[in-house]
Amino acid sequence: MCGVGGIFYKTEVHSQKTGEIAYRILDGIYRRGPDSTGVTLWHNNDGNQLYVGVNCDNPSDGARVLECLDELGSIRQATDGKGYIRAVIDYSGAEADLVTAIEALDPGINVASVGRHLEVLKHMGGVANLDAQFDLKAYDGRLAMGLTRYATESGIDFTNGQPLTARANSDMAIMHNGHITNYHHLRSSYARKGYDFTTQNDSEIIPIMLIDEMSNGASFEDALRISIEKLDGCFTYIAVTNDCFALVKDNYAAKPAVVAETDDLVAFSSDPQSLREGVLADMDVWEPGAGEVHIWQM
Amino acid sequence: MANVETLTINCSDKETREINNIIRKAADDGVKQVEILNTRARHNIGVGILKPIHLIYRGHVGYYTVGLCDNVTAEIHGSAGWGVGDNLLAGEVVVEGNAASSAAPSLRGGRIVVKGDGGPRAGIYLKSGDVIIGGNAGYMSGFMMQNGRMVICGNAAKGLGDSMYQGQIWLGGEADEMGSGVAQVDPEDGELDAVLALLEKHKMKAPKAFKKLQSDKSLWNFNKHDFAAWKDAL
Repeated sequence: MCGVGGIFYKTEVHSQKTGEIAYRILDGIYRRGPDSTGVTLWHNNDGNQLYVGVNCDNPSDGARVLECLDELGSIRQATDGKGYIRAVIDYSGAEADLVTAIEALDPGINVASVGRHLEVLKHMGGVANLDAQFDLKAYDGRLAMGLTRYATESGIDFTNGQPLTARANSDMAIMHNGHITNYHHLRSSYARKGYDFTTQNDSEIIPIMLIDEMSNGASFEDALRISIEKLDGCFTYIAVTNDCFALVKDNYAAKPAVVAETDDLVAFSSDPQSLREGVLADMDVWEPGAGEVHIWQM
Repeated sequence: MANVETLTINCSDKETREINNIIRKAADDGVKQVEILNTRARHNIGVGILKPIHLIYRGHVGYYTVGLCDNVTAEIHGSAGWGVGDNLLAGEVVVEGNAASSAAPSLRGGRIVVKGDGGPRAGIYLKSGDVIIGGNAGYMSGFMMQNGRMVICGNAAKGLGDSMYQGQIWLGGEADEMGSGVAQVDPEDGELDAVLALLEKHKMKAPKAFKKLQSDKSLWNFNKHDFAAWKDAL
């Protein structure tokens, strides 16, 4: 089933902490996806910092990963989530080199995300676990969006948890509620083009498809529209980049999502109740229709 | 409780089942109406009520509001989540705001009025009764309707009335694309007046004109020569 939900502030000024709103929204959709919870956070970049998330099959591999990251660039801040490492490092090199270096450590270690603006956090279970590990509630930036996962197609672990990214292509994360039925066909065609897949999750096809379409010259919006036609299945997904985020619905409108928008913010959730518990207000909501793409600029 | 005219329920401190039990007991006791406060988009509030009562929801409601009810009337002062009025047998539900996916699914009788927009699949599997939408209707509205009447004052998204068996759809605006097996027909005497009277009763603005749509019966019987039509029909 899965649930998606989050909050975006249109300006720096806001009345409630972004992380606290996201926490409440995700807590409200816990029952839609109790297996794991993940969020994408947007940060201002004041220099060379890179946000890195690393999945470790072996929870005790964290120290090795952190050591490697400290050699590649200097660590500003890091948390070993015992299975998922989150780090902010000063790094001016190519993202692809960093991914290669980390993944050379061990076959059980893979990079979940790298971003100049976007940070991905994941944890098993509900948002309370994620918050206990990574202090989601303390986040007070402009964008926090997440997914509560009900695993159907791949294992319940950090690697297969969402949000998912196209890895070395930094600053693109997606959160997908639904299923992609032509996943195997698409995956083999993208693999032939040279794209790496690190998970068995059908949702991983989405960021790779978007990156591929954009590298062929499509705009972000065009890539999203193309994805609706190329992906077979039922889905509502959220795509976040360094300068915008989008909500995309399949041609059947079979997966729920409601949106509330004011002059100050945009909030959405799979469930209207969680949205209102999140923003602590009885806001008017609307539901995007079949085959619709909605984009909000940062 | 029989001498109580209006019972007020505050949802904030109550479980869903407790709220429904209070409403059910009030209906059993002959209470005329129940005012429901702090609904905050909660799901399944006012479900399985089988005796006459009037429900007033002060705020937005979640999924399956007034679901599986008989002889219940309700006014929702806000928007409704998925499946409002699911399988209503008789009565009337008026949603002042918008309704999300599958408004009035499998309606068996009575009337569901949505003054704002309806989401995808409004009136899906409609069996009898009326569904009225003041604004626009979403994708595949009236899908597989078997009888009854659907009135859409605004526009409709793709697949309007797809695979409908019987019944009528009255469309004020335009459909992005008609569903399979739907044809526009001329209204019979008095039909349009009845639709307009319904709108007036609910103080809803009627569009300039209405198109009457119904099944063209092309999907009633399988014909292998029309295989292409069947391939497109969902």
